[in-house]
Amino acid sequence: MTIRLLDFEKVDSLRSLAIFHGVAYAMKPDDPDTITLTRPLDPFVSIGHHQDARTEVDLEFCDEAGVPVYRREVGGGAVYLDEGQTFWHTIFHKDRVPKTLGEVYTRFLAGPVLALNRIGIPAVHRPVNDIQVEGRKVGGTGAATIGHSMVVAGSLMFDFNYELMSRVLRVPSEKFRDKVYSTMREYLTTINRELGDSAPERSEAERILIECFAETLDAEVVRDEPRQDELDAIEEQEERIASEDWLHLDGLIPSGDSVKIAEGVNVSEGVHKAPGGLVRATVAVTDGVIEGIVLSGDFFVEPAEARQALQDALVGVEHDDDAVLRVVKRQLSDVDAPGVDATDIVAAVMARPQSG
Amino acid sequence: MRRVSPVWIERPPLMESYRGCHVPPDRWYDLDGDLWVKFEGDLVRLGMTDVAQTRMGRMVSILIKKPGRRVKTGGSVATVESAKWVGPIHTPFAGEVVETNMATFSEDILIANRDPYEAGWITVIRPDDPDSPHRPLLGGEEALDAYMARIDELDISCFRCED
Repeated sequence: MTIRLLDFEKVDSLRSLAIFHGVAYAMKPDDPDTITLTRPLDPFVSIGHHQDARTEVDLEFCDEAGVPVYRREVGGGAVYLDEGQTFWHTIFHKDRVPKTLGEVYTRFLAGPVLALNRIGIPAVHRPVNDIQVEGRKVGGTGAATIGHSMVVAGSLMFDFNYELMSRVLRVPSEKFRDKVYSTMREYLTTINRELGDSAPERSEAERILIECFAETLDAEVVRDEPRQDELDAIEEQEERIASEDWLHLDGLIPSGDSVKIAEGVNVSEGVHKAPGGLVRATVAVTDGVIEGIVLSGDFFVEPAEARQALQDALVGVEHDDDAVLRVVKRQLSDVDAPGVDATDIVAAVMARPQSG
Repeated sequence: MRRVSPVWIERPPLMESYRGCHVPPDRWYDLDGDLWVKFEGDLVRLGMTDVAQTRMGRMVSILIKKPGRRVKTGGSVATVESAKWVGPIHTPFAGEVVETNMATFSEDILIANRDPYEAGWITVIRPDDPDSPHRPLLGGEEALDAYMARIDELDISCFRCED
């Protein structure tokens, strides 16, 4: 079997997105399966297929900073991307990929995982679609049916700008932003963070990635040039992706205040209006357990240290109504909190996004 | 073909599910699109099958073409997103979108995972030519046989969210 490699190297951010959409839409049943590589020259924000740009992203900040925002036809959340990543896309005809999504990921993430292993990172595939090293995610992945092809998307993440990533998101509060930042630092890692000075050159890592795709897909990967119909489709996609209509897609379901950092790791914010004031809870949940929590808002507790004690007591507790209620009740037993009872705190801590 | 009642209704008892996957006998099925189709006068109601919702997993979002919009032959009438995949829903008919179930999905995004054949329908279309879907529709035993073969090939069992 032969797979075609289209290595576009450094391209502007819009083109880096348009390339995989264009190649996927151009694919006809008899066209060869293809892997594309791109490196964006400039930073940009990529939002998930069904995300509302205004709700998810601080568009004013991005505009002032000159960071374009584009919608992709792959799911998931908003992400700040820049020259620190090399994007890979496997674009295979949908009849030539495994039948179930679990198997699709197993097949197409094997190469990237092996490549990371080969450069010295003990990465593993954590189903469904995370690539992790010691519990931390290294790069994101996704899958989409585009035209007649199944696209699996991922990146070699050499660097990641955690500061700007948490800055470009529209968040309910600065505390939430801080929590997103610290949770991302903890649960997302990069090749350079893992390997430091022993990290390979970009081109070397890309060469290893292609070699590993060839090995794991049991195919010969042959460098090629895009066809004219693919170049035309890429241009068409550039126009569409840059359009305001596509960015501000109409009719989307609004999402809640939750940011998924990695498989099983979420930061969310719940606000509950109690008689004694507003209770705001910013909660980081890892595999169903509260990993960090900040309680704020305009309610009073006496003694004041009780708020910190409550936060500390909730760390490690299952993110479940009953478990949280038990801890909150115990903590509030000697505390004076006028107009706020245990169920009000639970309502804020357990608030879930409307969708997902 | 569509005007004829599927034969299996007249020959009970017939198994309507296989490995947990429901295949109700009162529908027609577009196997390629993994959709069910229900004829309602001049209109057709479409939704994902139990197999389709099982394969994609818990939905996180959906976008459906609005009423009044046209769908071309083989065109996409909606895009659905789960935690692991995004993809289009291609209708077997060209026509005009008459009604969508967007309001229900906005309230409960898992509705098609819970109840793919009733409350979790996706769209209603007025087909240009209801007698000529551009992909074959299967009904009756033919549909169940085809789904049994597919379920075995995929080696899956169906789960709905209330299960």
